Amino acid sequence: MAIIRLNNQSISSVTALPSGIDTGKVLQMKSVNSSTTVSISSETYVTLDSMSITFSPVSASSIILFQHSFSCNFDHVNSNQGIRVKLRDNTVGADEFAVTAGRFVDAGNGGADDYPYTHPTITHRKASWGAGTSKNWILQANNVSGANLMKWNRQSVFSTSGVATFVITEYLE
Amino acid sequence: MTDIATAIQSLNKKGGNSHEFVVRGEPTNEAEYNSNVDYVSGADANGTAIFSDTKPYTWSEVSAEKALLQTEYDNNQYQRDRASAYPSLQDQLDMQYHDAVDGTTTWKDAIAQVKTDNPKP
Repeated sequence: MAIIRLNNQSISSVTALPSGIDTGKVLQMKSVNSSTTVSISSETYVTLDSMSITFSPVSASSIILFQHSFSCNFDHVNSNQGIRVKLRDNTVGADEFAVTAGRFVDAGNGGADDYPYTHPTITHRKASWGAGTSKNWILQANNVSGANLMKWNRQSVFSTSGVATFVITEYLE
Repeated sequence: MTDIATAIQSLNKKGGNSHEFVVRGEPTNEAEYNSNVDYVSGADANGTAIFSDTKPYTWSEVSAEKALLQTEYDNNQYQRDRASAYPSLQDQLDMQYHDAVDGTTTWKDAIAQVKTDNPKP
């Protein structure tokens, strides 16, 4: 059987989208979730093992949107507490984006602010790094006050685990 | 109710230590403790934690501390029950005012009733 070549190119090198795909259209989406709590007392970043997605854009002119949603508890706020989350390009070993997702400051009122809770959603927007180029993206977190305990993906301090999600969406803008 | 992470933090406090750690899930035995708990020994050039090959606390120490904390928590249940059962401070002040004016014992009776309903073990 004859192999049909498009514009005299191999199929793998055809990366342009067909005409007629409007802006605002989602090209692909990948997600992972986890119901495991990770308790962190570390001021250095710890990789959140389940939050890993390998993603390959289908277009070179699209936008890639990263979203991470999770619950977080802090045991005591008798000193300043917080969580920072970092998005990392694990393929080349480079940091992409880091943000303080929750921050609580000691009110100096004898522990009245014990066990604060937050459920942030973090987003980061990036231009496509090239059609057909695969990258592994991971999330890391740290506790800005390692003397205390921060529980990523915990619904409340004595409750059950939450369901953390990590979503990568490619769309045309 | 307590957990392994809180038990490790308690051991740190009692021993005057500052071991930073990560607990994934809730280990229930030594094998899970060995695989799901890591202690931080440093950071690489990217700020990512490097984990120690050894653990400063054994599973026996950590699980015993968790059991101790759980017992303390359970034994203090009556305190939490009383705290939520006491009348508000505003109501108590109102009771005390009327007791002083009218010669009644409303406030003392209300407090005593909460203590009776939630006895110390």
